[in-house]
Amino acid sequence: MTHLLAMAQRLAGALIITVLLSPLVIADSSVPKPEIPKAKGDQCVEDTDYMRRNHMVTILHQRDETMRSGIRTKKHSLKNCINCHATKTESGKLSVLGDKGFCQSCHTYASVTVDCFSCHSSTPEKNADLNLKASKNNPHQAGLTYKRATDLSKKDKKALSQSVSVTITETKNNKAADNSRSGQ
Amino acid sequence: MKAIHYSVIPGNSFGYILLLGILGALTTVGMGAAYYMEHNGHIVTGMNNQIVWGIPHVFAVFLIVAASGALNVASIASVFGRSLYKPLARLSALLAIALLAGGLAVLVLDLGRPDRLIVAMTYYNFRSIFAWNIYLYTGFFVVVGVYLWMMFERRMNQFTKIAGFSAFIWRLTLTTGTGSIFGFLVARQAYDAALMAPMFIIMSFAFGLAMFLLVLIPTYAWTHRDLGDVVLERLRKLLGIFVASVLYFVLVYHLTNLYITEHHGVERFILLDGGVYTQVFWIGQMLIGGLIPLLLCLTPLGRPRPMILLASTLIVIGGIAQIYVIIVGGQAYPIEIFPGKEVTSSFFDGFTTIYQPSIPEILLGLSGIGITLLITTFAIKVLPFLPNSLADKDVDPDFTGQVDATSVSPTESAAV
Amino acid sequence: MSIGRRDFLKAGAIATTATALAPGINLIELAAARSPEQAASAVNRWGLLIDVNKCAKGCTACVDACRKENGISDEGSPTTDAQWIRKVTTKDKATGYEQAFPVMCQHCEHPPCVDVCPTGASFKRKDGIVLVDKHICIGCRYCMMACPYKARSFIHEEITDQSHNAPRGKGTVESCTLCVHKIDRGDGSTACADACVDENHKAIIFGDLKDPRSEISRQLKAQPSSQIRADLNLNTGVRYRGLS
Ligand code: SF4
Ligand code: SF4
Ligand code: SF4
Repeated sequence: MTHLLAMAQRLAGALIITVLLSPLVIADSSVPKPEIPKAKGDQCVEDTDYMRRNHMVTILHQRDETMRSGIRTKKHSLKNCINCHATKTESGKLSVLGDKGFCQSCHTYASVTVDCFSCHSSTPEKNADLNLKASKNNPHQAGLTYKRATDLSKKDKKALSQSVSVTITETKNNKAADNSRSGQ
Repeated sequence: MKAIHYSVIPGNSFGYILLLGILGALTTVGMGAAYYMEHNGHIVTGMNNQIVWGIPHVFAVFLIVAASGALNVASIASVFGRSLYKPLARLSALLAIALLAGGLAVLVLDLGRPDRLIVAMTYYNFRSIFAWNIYLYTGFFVVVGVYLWMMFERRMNQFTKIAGFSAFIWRLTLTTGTGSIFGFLVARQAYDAALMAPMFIIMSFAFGLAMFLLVLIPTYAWTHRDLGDVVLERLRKLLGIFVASVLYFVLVYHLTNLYITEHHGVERFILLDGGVYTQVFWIGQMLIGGLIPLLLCLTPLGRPRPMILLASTLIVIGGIAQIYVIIVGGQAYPIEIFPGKEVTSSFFDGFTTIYQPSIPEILLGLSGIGITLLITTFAIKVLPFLPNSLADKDVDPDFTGQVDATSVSPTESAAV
Repeated sequence: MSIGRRDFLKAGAIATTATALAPGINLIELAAARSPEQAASAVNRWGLLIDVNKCAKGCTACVDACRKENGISDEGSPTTDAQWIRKVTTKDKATGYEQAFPVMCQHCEHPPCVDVCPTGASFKRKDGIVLVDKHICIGCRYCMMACPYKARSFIHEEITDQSHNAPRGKGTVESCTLCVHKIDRGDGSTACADACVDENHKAIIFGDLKDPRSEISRQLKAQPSSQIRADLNLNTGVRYRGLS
């Protein structure tokens, strides 16, 4: 038992050293850093630094929300990422893949497989391109395309509150959601 | 009765290396086939949207079922206290683990996304019998592993009985679980039977013992160790009883189905006009896997060792045929969405599908057997699984110098 | 409650036309439009009513529309290609009476596919839509074995050019999503139902089974309907009228 423990300790030690040394190894390597293409919008939905480290967490969270509960807010959706970050590939198609593509270039560099695009389309949505160019429809200000409940007319509100599935008590949450949608 | 001495095999002969090489090659080819299947998708197999489970599942289920049955010999020794079988317990447990490993490997490598194995381990749907089986399989490794440890470690020998008992209970549950995979498919006429689970248990006894004999006899011959006739005779008779029980269950299964009007269609299909499936049933399952081995096991005809090996081989072939009929035949018969109607559609509704397995999937299936035997062959070299001698004078508590093993004692049959 | 402007206008338009027919319908149509941040809830249960007698012989508009909407590609291999919806022709063995109608995932209330799925990839959304979470599907195909309606397909080869509406890829299982992307958008209809209306057959009605005022509920209440294999007690979300 004791020598098992000792072995585990040694293993853990080796692991820690490897992890600590890895930045040195990477810095030293001759693999060129990827050139990350510029996105269409002015600013990402979150801090660039945050996104570099945590985009997978953000997308994963949104994935489960959308898949399981049908929550389809734009902000953290994969579609939104692609709409903004797709660039022309050599074949002239817009995509986040391709050697110089936003996702692939960096993932190749970090040698992490992207599993998203075996199922998801890697190209922007049809009209997304246009929307992005016009700055007032910047996806990071998606809130513009939605009306708040408070903006509804009296008649509509009454109609809503009478209907089976909608209660206006949602307003507070929506406000928060709207705020979060209207840019950083 | 003398104390039993175990030892590793030397494992340095040309034959041993050759055997390892052949089994290694079989395994490697299977892995290659799995990679090819994953890379191209299941389009390169004969499976499709009608026959969704094919040859890999046939082999996987056979091996998993056989795994629990291979433990039988050990159970008879530990649980039912038959000391004649005690020297065989280690090998029996080893083979159980190896068979399960081989079966699971095939099952996993056939997944559409084998790369997501970690998902299968971390996401559970507790309503799924499949998910329960993942626990049962993992648990089986642990329980049998502990059991082996108790047997190997002299200090722990006292716990052998209780460990053996746990393993016995566990493997019954495991086979029930495996059988229930099919029992839960209410919509498929062929599987809609409560008899499925007990039938699988009986099948496991026969398949497991056949595999055990197929390993035991050559191993002892090739390593020049003594293997007495007493123990072999007992095992042969036991095998005969198991085969008879399987036949009995198959009979009851089909008779019950014939009693249920809505199952007439599928019964007719399997027994009469299902083409290749009917042939596999009558020739493969009933004749090769049932009647001939029965004859060999219960008459003096099968007493010579080559005959025992033949009977075991036939049972393995027949077993694979039986599972083929259950899995593939059950799917080939069109699912009855509109009872009483003739159905046609672009999606092959109402259409009997002919399944043509492709080479890669067959190789993957066979590699399951390769993995099993590879593990076994390797393990007996590194750990002392095999008794130095299984000669009659060393193992038989009532050894009189005369071979008399024409009857199987009631306790052994009770182990069924 | 916030509603996409376009959806809101559309809902309004439906409301105006509907008010003339019966007061109250407009409320229902508004209710269908859930805001993007609002989760699907058990207040609704979406379903379809398929009128077998209205379904035209030889017409495959619903099938074609589904393929287009969800990007179901034709890989040229009939036995392995996915089919989310198919036209089934039945012929009574005794009388020879023939019927043809579409069959898709029946969105069972007690779905066997969900019960057997080892990872929980097959699941039922709160609003009754049965889906496959392809992120965690391991491709074991147990759900296909369990589905009594043969509603599911396994993707046997690599797929490219997927539709934005329906991500799909090799090694996972899929089936009709009840056009969940349209429901979430508040379209209040499915591609197959729309196509059938376009062909002027109107054999497919989409709606909320839990809302007594919805078109589908009123139709179900007014006339007899049935479920396929009702004996299995799965309480399907897809109902049929005129099924002999
Ligand atoms: S029809 Fe089949 S796939 Fe659809 S919910 Fe029912 S069991 Fe599942
Ligand atoms: S194929 Fe996917 S969805 Fe179907 S049972 Fe297996 S893991 Fe679940
Ligand atoms: S509801 Fe949508 S996904 Fe389902 S069959 Fe109709 S068009 Fe296809």
